[in-house]
Amino acid sequence: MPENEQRKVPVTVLTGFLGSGKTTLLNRILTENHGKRIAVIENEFGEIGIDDALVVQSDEEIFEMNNGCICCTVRGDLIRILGNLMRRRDRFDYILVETTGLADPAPVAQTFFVDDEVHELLELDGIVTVIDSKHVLLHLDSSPECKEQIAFADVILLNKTDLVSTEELDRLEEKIRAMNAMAKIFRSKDAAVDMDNILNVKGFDLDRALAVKPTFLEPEYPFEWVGQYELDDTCKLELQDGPDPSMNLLLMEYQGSKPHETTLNGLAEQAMRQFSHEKTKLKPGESLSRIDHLYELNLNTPGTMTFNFALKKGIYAVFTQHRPEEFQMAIKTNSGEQTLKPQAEHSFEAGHSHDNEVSSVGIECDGNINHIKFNEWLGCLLREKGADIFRMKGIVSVAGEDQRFVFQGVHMLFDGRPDRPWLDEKRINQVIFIGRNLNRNELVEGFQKCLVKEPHLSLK
Amino acid sequence: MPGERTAFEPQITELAPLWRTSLDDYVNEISFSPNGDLLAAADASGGISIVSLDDGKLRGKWQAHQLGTLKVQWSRSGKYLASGGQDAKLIVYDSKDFSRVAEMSLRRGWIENLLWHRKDDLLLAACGKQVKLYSFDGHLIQDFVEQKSTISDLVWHPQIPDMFATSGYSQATIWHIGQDSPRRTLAWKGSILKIDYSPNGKVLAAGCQDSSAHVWLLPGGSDLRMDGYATKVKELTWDSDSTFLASGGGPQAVIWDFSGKGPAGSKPEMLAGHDGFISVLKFAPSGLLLASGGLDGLIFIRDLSYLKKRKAQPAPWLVHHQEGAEVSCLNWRGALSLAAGYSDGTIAFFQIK
Repeated sequence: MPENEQRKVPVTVLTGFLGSGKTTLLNRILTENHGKRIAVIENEFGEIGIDDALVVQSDEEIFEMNNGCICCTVRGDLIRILGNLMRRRDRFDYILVETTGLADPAPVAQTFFVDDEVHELLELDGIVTVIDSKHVLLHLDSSPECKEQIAFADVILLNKTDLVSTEELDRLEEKIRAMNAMAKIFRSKDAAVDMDNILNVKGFDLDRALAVKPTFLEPEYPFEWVGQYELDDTCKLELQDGPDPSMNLLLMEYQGSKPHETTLNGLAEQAMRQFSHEKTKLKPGESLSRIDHLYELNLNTPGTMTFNFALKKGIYAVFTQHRPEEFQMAIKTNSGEQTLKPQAEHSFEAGHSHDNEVSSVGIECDGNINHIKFNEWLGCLLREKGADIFRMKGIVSVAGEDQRFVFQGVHMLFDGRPDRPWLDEKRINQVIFIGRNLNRNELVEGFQKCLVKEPHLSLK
Repeated sequence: MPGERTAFEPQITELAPLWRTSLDDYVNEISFSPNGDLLAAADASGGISIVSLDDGKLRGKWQAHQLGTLKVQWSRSGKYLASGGQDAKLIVYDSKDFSRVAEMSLRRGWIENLLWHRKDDLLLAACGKQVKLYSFDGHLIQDFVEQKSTISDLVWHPQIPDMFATSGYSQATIWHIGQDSPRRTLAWKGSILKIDYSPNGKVLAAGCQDSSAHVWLLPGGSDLRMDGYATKVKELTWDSDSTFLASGGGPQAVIWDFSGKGPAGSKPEMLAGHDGFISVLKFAPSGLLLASGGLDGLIFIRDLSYLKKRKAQPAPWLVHHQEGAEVSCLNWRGALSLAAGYSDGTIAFFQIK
């Protein structure tokens, strides 16, 4: 086959509900990129206002594929139109695809994975979702399409910012961030946004997988606080009456010694798993003797309640279900005179808005994976949960390989390959899943079972 | 893949074109005038070119459609030339001077297929989800029931006058002029890209998006599925005896034998040679010469008569290579000459000795 000398033509998909400002953005792209040869594939209700743009109107025709992949659908109309547009001598610099308001972005994205001709000539640059900041909350909870458009996006434009307060926007952004940790979020009035933020974002480029670090909102951890202390068996934990009759507490041991808040935060993933395990009930006067074990402290007694630490001297992370100040919690030395200050501490936000149905799960850990186990796990995961996994991306460190392994996927479709060699950098695994009803614990545990050995928890 | 590569080492003979000309634009389709003097070519920028078959000289070129001209076809008598484009327009020209006889604007969509009726005065066209029958001078004769999905192909029944078939997503549909609704629907869950009747009318073959081919045995309608192609199957062609169905869908031409018990359970003949996917496959209108063009710029012409005789060795393959271009279309004129159009605008005309 002759070398494809010309670079692939990028395609940006614009999604968003009717009235979100999608067409305004489209017209803006066409106006501001005057001189570039842009073709627009517009949905049947489109209203492009630029006369000299090449506009092809199209009905969204969703075809199911008989390829053994239950959720694999493609846009038949796009296959036909894109292939044909690429025949022209004056090839286009850019192609924009505008979807209807209620479109599921999956078939568009999957078209670029499934059809050889489209894959050969064009590259999906990104999915841009425009949101009416004023009205989106009216249908966000009730509309699966709205959630899918947010979950699939590489770029989310919170538009019509002039109609809402900054506080409302902040809350909206937080809600959206919890659903899609991977997207870049911008705010705009009248869809006025820097074109560099919308075009050429390389959202599906394996070479740029996770080039932009995902922004995770902290998930809803079952604890609100962690503090790092140097403890020994002479230390005591003191609590006073508080709002709840009991509180869960977990101790984890550090093997390192240097306090570092981000690493405390990093321990949270491990702690979360422990918080779902069985717990031991403890009354005041009894001892906290086990690490990596969940205790339920009975706080029903009036006055000061004291628990003893029966631990060898070392550095420990103390995770508590509630904030320490709610129970005036203090860790004191044996004499009881000196209250220890945490060497580091971290609070976990509770009660931030969070969509249970659509969310992002990020996994980041040291260690090398066993590629056979990883393939088996991912294969099994995609077979069983592929319909619920909208997008995934990752860079992993494969045991015995000098190169990074990069991958991405849309539902059950997977694209992965060895990437550049690891340079003078820490070999680290980073994976993100965006989907519906994702089980964080299952995903984290599943991934960790692929590791050749347990990740080292020491501070570095 | 459905079968093994053939074991023999074929002999190769270089085939040089009689002439070559350049239109400077992707050639979507070529059609020979019935008297054999001219060739009309449709290009991706909306043009139509008329080339003299004697010497390959360009006789005329004009802009016919906005965006691209997808189809061009001479009527059976040669009196008219029709074109269809990405502007949903269907245009009829008088072959004498190429003046416009009629221009029909369909609703939005692309004219992806047009067929002249065997009587010279009727023209059938598929545009988007609709099929319409027009008189040569632009009058709408019949508007067939709109389909649920875009019509990907349109073919006449080879034996029954006025019967035709269309394909689309999840079905092939059989129609008859005079009846607005389909006569019959052949369901298949998948996107059908191309259909072709066997010349005896007993098989309707379909090429599918999901890298498979499908055939319905008619009139009963029982069907067979052929799986395992490398890519989507948009190239299908029957030999004139209805014995062999050649299919593309990858770098090898896959030949199914419909003689005897038919292809069910059999292994197809696989003809290797192309370095890239095959883009066009056409049997000659008589005999067993199969022409294949590929994205690699290669054209192979192979005589498949050896498949009918045990132990027979194939005749040398004729090969032509056009550097840096893809073969985009190909058409036979009689059993021994053919023209090919390329992605770079080249048209080449070959004569087989």
